[in-house]
Amino acid sequence: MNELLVQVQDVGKSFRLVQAVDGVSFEVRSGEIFALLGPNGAGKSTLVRMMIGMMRPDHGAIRWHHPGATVNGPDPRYVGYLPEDRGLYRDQKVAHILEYFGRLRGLSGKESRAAAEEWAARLEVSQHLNSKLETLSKGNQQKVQVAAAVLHRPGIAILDEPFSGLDPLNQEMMLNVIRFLRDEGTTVLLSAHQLELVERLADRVFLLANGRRVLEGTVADVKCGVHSGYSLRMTFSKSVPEELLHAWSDDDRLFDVDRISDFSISLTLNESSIVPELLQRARSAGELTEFRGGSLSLHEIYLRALNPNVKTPDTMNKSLVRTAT
Amino acid sequence: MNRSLSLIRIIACWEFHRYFKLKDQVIGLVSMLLGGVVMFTAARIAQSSDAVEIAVIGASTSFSIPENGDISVSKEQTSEQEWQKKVANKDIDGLLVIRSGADSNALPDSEAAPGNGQKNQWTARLYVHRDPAWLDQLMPVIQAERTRWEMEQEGLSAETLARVMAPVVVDVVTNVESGVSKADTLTAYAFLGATLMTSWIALAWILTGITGEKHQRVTEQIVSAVRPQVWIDGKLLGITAAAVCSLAFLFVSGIVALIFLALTAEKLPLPGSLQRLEFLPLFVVFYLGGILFWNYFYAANAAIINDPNTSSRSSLLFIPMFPMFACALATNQPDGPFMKFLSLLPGSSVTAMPIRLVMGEVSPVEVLISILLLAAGILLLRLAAGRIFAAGVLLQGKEPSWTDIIRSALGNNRESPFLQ
Repeated sequence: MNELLVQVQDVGKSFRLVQAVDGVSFEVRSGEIFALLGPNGAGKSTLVRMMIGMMRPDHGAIRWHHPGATVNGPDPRYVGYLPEDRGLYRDQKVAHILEYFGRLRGLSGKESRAAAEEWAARLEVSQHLNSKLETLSKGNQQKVQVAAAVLHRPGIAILDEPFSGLDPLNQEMMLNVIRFLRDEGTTVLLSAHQLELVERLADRVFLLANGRRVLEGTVADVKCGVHSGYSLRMTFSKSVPEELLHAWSDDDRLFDVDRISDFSISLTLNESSIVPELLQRARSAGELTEFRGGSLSLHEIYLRALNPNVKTPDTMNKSLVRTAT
Repeated sequence: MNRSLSLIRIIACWEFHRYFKLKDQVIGLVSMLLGGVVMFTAARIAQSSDAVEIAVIGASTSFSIPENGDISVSKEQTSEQEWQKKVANKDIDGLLVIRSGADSNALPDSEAAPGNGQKNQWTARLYVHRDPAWLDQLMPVIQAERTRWEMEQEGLSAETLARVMAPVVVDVVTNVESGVSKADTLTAYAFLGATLMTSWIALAWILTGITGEKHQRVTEQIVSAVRPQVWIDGKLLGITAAAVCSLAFLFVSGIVALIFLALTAEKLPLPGSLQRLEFLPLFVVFYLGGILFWNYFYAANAAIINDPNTSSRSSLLFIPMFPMFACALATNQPDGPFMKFLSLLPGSSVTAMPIRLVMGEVSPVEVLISILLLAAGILLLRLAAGRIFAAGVLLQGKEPSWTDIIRSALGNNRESPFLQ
């Protein structure tokens, strides 16, 4: 476990005038869940396509370290791939589709049929094996899609936007599939926008913007990194004391002070050690009715990293309150 | 290499089963046969209802109506008045009254039918109860009867008269060694038809298959597992096999229809072209090679089309039809320079060479050169088509530019996926 599986070194790719990926480097280790994050057009899909050998980088190198890998890419039998733009043969029976994809990934006919049945049972679509795909609901079609990508028990599952288009119930199904794959020893590389789901899953994340690296590391490291911090919310019985607002606005240890409403205030700080001091000051200034604190979510860190001036839902609310007041 | 071959086989089987549905073929065959039986029976019933019975009075003993027509003459002996009553009662369809010499006076001038000759000579009258659509069949017999009578009046002996009136027999002799027999022509056109039909079936499947896969977003998942060249090879082998099997089913339908006709009809129109079976192996080589050649062209074309209903590039798919139709037009000069050129050119040799084989004179060297050029053409087109397919198959919602297509075909498109 945790052996080096793939090395991406200074990889770049451009399409005419657009620099899709620019000097990106990272490593993926076996057994981990590695998440590629980034807004639309950040270069995630291009990077993934280059990694599996569907595209050639303009510069840099991608090296796979597993038996059967070549300089052109990984052994297709070692990889399970769920593309962002995905679909299957709608006019074919589910069992035939799964068997076909299993065989393309190196399974024998018998192995392929067994794997199809196993995954259909796991994803609760066994009763649809002999139905044509077009007769299934959208959610069940997504399940078949997932099964087709991983039924051959790949060494690495590359899932490009696996949660896109899924309702909350199917998002949970997808989470369970990814956990199952990890538990079975499959390395998972995924790209996603649903950061609250990624936060629950990923061992390491890599944030990409405009084709370049913004931040990377374990989820814990990222939460303690330059874009991370603590969030405090205080609610008073009366209006937020003005002297507090003025004092904290000039405090360099706080990088964000916002009045949420007449009675509430939100603080963002770099370190938690000053929390007792802030609490004491608040109590002395007025009657504190509610106090909540915690680290920033991955979603907030993501937004801050991509654009320090971006308004999170919280700050948007504060702006509205400010405008109103 | 073994892995590629195994994948090509898997993909070919998948594509074959996607398009060739045995159940559908059998249903089609049975429907066609049932339709044939219904049409045959209906034709027979219509034929029997078309039967016309007439009575003839005053004709010579040599008056006879050919047995293979719709008209028959009643053998019953009765008076003219009785016959007229029967016509009026619609018991028979008509009464033909012929009068000659003195008997012709029996018809007054006002009633004499125009064109029956002069009074006191020869007259004919037909009594009917409705418009006689069958009169055209009867006219040659009436005309012959009048001619016979006129010649008799000129004093020709009975023997001479019999010789003159005897039907002419033309003995048709076909010199197979130096000319083109009907069987040859039939064979050539049958081959041309079979090739065109297979090509059209494959074209429809390739176009809908590839554009459909792009629209259904299947392509990326497949090309992550197999190289596009392997995919296109397997796909085209499978579709070609399915198209050939479909045509074979049509061929079987034809054979069954012939057997049915042999059992039910009096004469069986056996195709004389069966005598040209010695060319069968060469036919198969050109047929399969040509279909594969054009299928690579179709696949490359389909990969650069986003929507076949709106793309102007769909018209390119008709290019293969031009050399095929050119061959059809040049069959009257199978060994002319134009046809010789077409029989060597890959793409047109698929139809031109088989046509020349049955209708002209082709040296073994020409056949060999044609086969070698076709094989080289298939290999080159396969390579170019594979590259264009790779460049176009992942593009969804847009079509590659012509510059990109040409660069891809030449292996010089830096932005094309899969170029290693």
